[in-house]
Amino acid sequence: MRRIKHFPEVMEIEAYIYTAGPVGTKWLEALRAGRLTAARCPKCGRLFMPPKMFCPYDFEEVKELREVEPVGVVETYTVVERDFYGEPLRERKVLAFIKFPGVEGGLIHYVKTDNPQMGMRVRPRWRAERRGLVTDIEYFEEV
Amino acid sequence: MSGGKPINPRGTKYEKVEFPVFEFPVVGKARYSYTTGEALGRFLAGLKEGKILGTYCAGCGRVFVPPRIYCSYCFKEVDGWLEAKDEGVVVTAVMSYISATRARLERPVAVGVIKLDVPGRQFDDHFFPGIMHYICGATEDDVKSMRIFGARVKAKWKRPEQRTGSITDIECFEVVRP
Amino acid sequence: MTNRNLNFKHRVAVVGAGLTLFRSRMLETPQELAWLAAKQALDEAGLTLKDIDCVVIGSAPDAFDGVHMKGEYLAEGAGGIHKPTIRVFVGGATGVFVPIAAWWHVASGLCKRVLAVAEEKMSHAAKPHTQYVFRYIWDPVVEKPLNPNLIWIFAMEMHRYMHKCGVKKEDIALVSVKNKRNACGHPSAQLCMPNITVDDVLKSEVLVWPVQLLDISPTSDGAAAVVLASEEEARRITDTPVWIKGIGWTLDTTHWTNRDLAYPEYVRRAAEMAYRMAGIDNPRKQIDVAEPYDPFDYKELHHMEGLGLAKKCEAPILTREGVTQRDGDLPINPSGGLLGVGNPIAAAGLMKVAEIFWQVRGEAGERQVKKPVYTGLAQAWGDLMQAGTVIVMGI
Ligand SMILES: [Zn+2]
Ligand SMILES: [Zn+2]
Repeated sequence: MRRIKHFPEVMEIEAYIYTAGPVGTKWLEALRAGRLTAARCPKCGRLFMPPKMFCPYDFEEVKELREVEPVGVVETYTVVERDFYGEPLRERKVLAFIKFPGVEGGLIHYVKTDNPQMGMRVRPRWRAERRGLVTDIEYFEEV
Repeated sequence: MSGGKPINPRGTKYEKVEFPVFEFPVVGKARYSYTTGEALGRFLAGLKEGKILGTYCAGCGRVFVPPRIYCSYCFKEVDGWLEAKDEGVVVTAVMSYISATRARLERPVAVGVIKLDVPGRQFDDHFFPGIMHYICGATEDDVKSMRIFGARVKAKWKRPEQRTGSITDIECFEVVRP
Repeated sequence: MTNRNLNFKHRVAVVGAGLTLFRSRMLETPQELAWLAAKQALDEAGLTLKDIDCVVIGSAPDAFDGVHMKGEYLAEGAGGIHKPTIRVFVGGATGVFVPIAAWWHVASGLCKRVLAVAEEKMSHAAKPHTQYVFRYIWDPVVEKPLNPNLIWIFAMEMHRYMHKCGVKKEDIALVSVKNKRNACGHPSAQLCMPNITVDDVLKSEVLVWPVQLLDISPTSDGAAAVVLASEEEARRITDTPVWIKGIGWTLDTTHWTNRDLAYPEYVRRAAEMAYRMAGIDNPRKQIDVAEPYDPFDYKELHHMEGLGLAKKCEAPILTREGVTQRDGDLPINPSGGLLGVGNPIAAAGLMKVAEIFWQVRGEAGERQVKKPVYTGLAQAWGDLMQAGTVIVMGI
């Protein structure tokens, strides 16, 4: 008797809708306004990016955002050569973890450069039309 | 307020999205290919031939439909295969007015659990060969009045050339009118 | 079954509890919901994050929040960073399993103060419908090709129970009415319906007969937390610790079409384990208040019988006689349950544990049951009629 070995199934969830929380929403709204901010813990004074409504170190509530000088430092990076499906990209992309002086955390984002370096200073290139998403920054570029 | 705990529970409810959110479409869909395994592989192959196959454990006498290769009670390999009849009785049945995505159906469908007959064996209510399937030939009233409970039903098979080795090779279990 | 050797190092008490609001859509991220509840539980116990040795997290399938490795993700909001932290999961039974797992952290002597947090954000899985996520609990080979809706299985269980026990829809609707009215006394409640009647339930949209819209709890976002401590620590923290007297949990087979659905064997076994540990031999007399799991109204009745709080088929009668009301002889779900307070899955189970904590301490305000409470019970259930989790608490 021939055995049927496989049974196909397609997961048809169409979309997830994620919210950013009360402080995260303000942070996204600041991005939409072309400003980079971090949340400040009133107890230990740490600055967090991206922000949350609490400080994970002392569990204090966090409400306040402070504007951050939009000049970051590449902490580490990788060069992306292929797309999701394994096909070669027409243009290589540099994806970096960018930290901001005095801020906990940082952003994962693209850096437009032919010569990526750890420690290089970068600034955001803002899109003209912004929606309140991290992609409102098109990429970072060398200062 | 009640004066009881919790005092002033927090959280910010919203009705409409009037602020930035991430809507993340599941692009390309996640395509799964489940392997059926030993027991269900043979079960599906049996369906293609118009047979409902099960396994049995000689240790405790249990019959497994859908089949497995082990008896989870004696924790040993089953002792062999047998063929259940393609008829049995309804142990529970319901009338569904909604689809899998909770859309209203044009016409409700009856579904239930069917306890299958196995020649030469008796089963109580606590463990029996049984599968879930559509029940056809039952009216809304048959279900709502619970007349459907205990009714005899028989598999309505697709034509052999239409069968693919799936539980849907059986279209439904049809109520046998005496 | 032989007696278990109940030789624990430490007695364990609950010393604080916290909840968020339960609502259908919340702005806070899952981490933030966890933090809101955890912070409130710590505040109530008079503790800070520094006082916590270990953290236990509970959350239902990742597919709701849309975050894989939800335990790791939630750790920060649950206070688990740089601490021994674990996530436990037994489907819908998870909420009551969280304090059970926290219990063994303390009873073993491994940790002195444990934060136990449960969170669920079902609103993320918005399209096409939250219910659709449940599709993946069905067997992929023999069940899913029939294109089932989750409610089918509950409707089949409910109908089987009605058939076997001769229960009418009107009797079952009384549970929904009681719980949705009870919820009006709960500050977190999503569905307070002070004027709901049996007729409203019977006239609500028929989804899968015999299940109608008002037979079911809503989908919800929310979080809950409790703090557990060893005896020595508990006595230092509070004058009114609530002791965990018994815990139990069991799992039945996933092959639900081979079993009788009329009686929840998975709950009976879990309850037996908890009762043996708590020294309870007559639960109907020895349990003063109970929070059985009630995502559907018939489930409250079903679980009362599994817990031995009613004989088989007797729960609807007790309900009709008013025994299960807050001022009755056996108050059931005085919180308002999942039907009224809401059903953020794991958080809803832990909400029940928090309710028993407050009931035993006499802190439930207008929800406080009339009879004195010495011993209470919370229970949850999960998966394909499989998982039962039970906790017995008292003074
Ligand atoms: Zn801080
Ligand atoms: Zn066996």
